[in-house]
Amino acid sequence: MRMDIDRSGCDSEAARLLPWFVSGRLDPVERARVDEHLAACPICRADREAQAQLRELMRSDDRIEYSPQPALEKLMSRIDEMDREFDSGGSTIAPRPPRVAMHAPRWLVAALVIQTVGLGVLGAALWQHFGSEPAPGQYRTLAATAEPVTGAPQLRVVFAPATTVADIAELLRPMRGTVVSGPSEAGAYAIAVAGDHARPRELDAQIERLRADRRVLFVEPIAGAPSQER
Amino acid sequence: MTRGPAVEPLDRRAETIPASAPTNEHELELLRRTTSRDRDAFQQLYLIYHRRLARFLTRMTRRYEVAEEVINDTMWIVWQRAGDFRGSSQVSTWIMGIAYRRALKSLRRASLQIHAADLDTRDEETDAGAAVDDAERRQLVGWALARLPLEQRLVLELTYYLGHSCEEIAEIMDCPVNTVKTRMFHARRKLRQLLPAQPGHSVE
Repeated sequence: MRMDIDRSGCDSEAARLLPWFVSGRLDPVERARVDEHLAACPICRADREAQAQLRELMRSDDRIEYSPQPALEKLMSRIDEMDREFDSGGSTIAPRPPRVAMHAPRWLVAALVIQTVGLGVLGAALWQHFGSEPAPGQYRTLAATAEPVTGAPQLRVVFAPATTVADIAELLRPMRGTVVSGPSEAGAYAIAVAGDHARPRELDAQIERLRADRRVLFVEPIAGAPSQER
Repeated sequence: MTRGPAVEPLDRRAETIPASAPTNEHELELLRRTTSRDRDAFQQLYLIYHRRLARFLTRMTRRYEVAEEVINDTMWIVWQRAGDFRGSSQVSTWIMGIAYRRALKSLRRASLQIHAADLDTRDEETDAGAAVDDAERRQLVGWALARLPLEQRLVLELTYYLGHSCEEIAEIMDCPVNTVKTRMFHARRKLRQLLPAQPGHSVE
């Protein structure tokens, strides 16, 4: 069989690097190694030619014309919608059909459902972490903390679709964050921050921390939300 | 926050930029402007990447409608996280890595991995030894590529069509460099089996 090339005596590493030699993407040291090997190896010289032909054929196989405009319009609509939502500054978003801006993939819908359900668990976890038992007869939401947050939520956050409930809890714990509402149509949660973490400088630090985390797609202060000064 | 018409007129030039063109500086500038919510810059970036993403993701998912969803998911993340790009890699490596991960998730969730026997190209089977011109050779190569395991096919695409280095592919596919080389090695070997008289075949 032709694939059973006898590469005895062949510098196998140089042979393995051959495709990137052909595409011109080796560093100088690797290139020199392959160059040297090619000078002595007729098998790899022939393979180099074959790989060069394959590359040319693959690069020339570009007959399909794509139309980016419709997809781009969908995406810009999605971005517009997100901006409108953030500019509104509130957590109440007018109900919309679930697929206004673009056709959400099933996995995304599933992820949002899982996140929504998981928030209940998250709320319970936060309650356990910070809370004490409420007075008899006093109603309390699962998301309530022992140190109730006053005023409006300060942050709006969109988590990456694969973010788990445990991840969200981990992200919110350092700033004693509470999910006040969400997910919105765009998948955003309104987050209230407790205690010193709500002071402007500390809040900025928390925003930077969240932005640096790959599990957070977007975080922005909610316009007009009062920060808590003591 | 910048606001404007949903979509600016198409910059036709952006579509014609070859995938392998040394455009990193230009793309870095577009990304920097995207960080400032510059919609025009973002749309230029989108148009630059749409073609290469469409081809790569269609090869990966085998369905253009799925590829298009992944393209928009990818570029949505680019819009949201442009400020996270630190310049330690090429812009193209960063974006292709996002696309690869989004597509993998999409494939896993939708169970869209299609076995070779179910490929749309099944009616295009041709006598592999009878190719006479480039069009037929391209058809044969496409037929053979479609029969490679996903990871091997993508390494070939990333190397030969998109022009990425071995290290960049390792970053995109989040695997060791050695794994990339091994995938390429097996891809070449399988292509030689499928196309004994075609490009990719070595001398006896």
